[in-house]
Amino acid sequence: MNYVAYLILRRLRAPLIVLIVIYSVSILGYVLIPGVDDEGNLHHMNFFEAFYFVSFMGSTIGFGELPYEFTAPQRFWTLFCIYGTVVGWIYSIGAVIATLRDQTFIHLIQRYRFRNRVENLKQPFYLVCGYGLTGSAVVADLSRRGIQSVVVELKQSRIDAMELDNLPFDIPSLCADASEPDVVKDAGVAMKNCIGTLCLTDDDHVNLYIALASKLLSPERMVLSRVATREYAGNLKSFGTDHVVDPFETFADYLTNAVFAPYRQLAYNWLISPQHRSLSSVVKPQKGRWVICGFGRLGQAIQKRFEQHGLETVIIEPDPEGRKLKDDYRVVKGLGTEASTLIEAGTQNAVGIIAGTADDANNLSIVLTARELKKSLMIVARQNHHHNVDVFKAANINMIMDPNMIIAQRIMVLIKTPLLMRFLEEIKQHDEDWCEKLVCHFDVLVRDHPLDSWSIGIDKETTPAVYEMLRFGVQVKIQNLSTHPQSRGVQLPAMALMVMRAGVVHLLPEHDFCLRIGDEILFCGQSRVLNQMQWTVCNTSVLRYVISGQDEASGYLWQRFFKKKNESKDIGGSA
Amino acid sequence: MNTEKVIFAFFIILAATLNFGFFLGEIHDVDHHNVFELFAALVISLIATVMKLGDRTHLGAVLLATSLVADLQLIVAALLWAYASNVSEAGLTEELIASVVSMSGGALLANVISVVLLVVETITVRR
Repeated sequence: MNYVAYLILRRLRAPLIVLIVIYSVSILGYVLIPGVDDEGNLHHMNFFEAFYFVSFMGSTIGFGELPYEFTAPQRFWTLFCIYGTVVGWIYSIGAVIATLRDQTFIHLIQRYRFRNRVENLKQPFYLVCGYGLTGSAVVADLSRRGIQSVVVELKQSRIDAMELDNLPFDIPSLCADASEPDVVKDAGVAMKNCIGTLCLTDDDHVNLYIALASKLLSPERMVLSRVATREYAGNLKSFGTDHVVDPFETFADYLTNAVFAPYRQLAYNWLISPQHRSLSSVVKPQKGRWVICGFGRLGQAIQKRFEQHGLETVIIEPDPEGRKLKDDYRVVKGLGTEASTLIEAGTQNAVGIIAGTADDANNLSIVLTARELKKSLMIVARQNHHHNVDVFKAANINMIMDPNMIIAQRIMVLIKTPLLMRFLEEIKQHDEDWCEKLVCHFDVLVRDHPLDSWSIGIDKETTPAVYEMLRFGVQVKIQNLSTHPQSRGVQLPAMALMVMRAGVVHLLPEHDFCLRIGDEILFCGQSRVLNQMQWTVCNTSVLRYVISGQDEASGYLWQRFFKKKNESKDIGGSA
Repeated sequence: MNTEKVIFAFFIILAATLNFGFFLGEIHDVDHHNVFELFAALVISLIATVMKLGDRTHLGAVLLATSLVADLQLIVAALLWAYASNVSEAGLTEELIASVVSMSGGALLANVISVVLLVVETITVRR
């Protein structure tokens, strides 16, 4: 039902009653007060005449004293009525305007419009709860990939900021507390075309609520939640939250990988965040002593992993008793911002330092002090607030941990394609040499462009041309898909990373790998390739041309044109 | 006790009684039907209608409907009276006054239904 209409009507009650009362009292007055007609006889206005007079008087039109000139008592009453009706109207109109400007009313209207817009969404969408830095990065990324999203955010200022973000889609957004189940419901969590719920608020408890509501309202819907503490991570996983992203654990994984397998880490990084990375950007830390400043969530996560790998660590922590540190750890009490503490921790002999406190100023101070002590130190710093991004960049830090970016990247990997996640798992099985070769491949493919990745499934809906060919027994090879749709001698800058066939993974398939119906292929390369590849897999005549070099379904002119082109290519020896 | 409901009950019953008072008497005798009573019945009925605006319960909506019916009939009755006494050459004839009163009789029926619904609602409140 339409709550808004009810609310307006309810608010209109008092003004309407006031108007009715004022009008009826005025009319009654004119009927009762005696007047005289033009011949001086006694004349009582009847209700019709009184209503007529009050109607034009109340709206301040003023046709004069009708039907006869008024007597003094009638004029006296008219004075009262003029002010009475004017006050009545001002009050009523004021009340209506106040209703329209009322915050609850505005919220109701916004809610109503939001629900309508979500209900009318035809395309698949993600529900994003929390439009902070992570949320806005995710929504922008989704829009870039042509995926619709719906946003629920607690702060109006962030919703307002969204209007300025210049997104290519019109994104339905609501300012409301997403931990209320009916808000999530209005945001379309139970709708068929909702792909998943992303809980990205910075409050673990709110995320828990959203994840719960989403799982209860539609159990099969994918739910992803960011989380900051271990207890909540366990809680979220306990009821089947599909993905729980803990930025600290994730970053600790990155760092450990970067120390022990830098090329694998570079491949990983390149695939999950598309910016270009030069081969020289690979970090080459030596194994040795690491100084960890701040034994909070980040410090603990890193310490745990380094300990497993047998790295020597020294912890600098202002409150060692409060953190319940084990006795066998090497602990120095202090912040790490002053040189004496760092020297005591043996920073001069260390290979790296981690500035992992919850305070950005302290972290920067640690970075600068440590660099004074030892120039070649590998420096890792935790950036807590996004507005400090420029300062951290200027500090020339080897690895910056920005929780928002980590979560956003992680989510984009999941959203891009589940195959990528699988591939990233697979490369963990391979050694550094293998990874180094892979990274060199990437470098040749994309040169200075961003590296994108996407998956193509061989089925009737998404790749009709390939499906048809395979059904008629024509062999389609992987290299056919990555051939330029207009000139088959040219290979597109993309490579197949992996083919998934009936649950079995074929890593880095050869060019002449023959496809079968039901295969899923993960490609990586420059992002423009995806469009060209779509062209090949969907259009039968393009695919036929790519496979055989013949273009039959074209007109005379085209045939001549292509014949010439193909002849010149055949001499080059591509078959 | 719900003050809003009590005030509404007051207006609904007042509308019904005023309407009844106007309706009472020989149907074509002008002297038995007071125009002030018709005016009062109309005004009170309008107020009762406005008081039910924006009620989201089912019973509230039905009450709004019945009092809208009463309003409609009373407005027609008042228009007829105004036509008879101001526009018509013949003035307040017996036929016209009879149709005014029968209109108010229709409104009375609607008002009675309102009162019945009101009583039913009051009985179902278990406090």
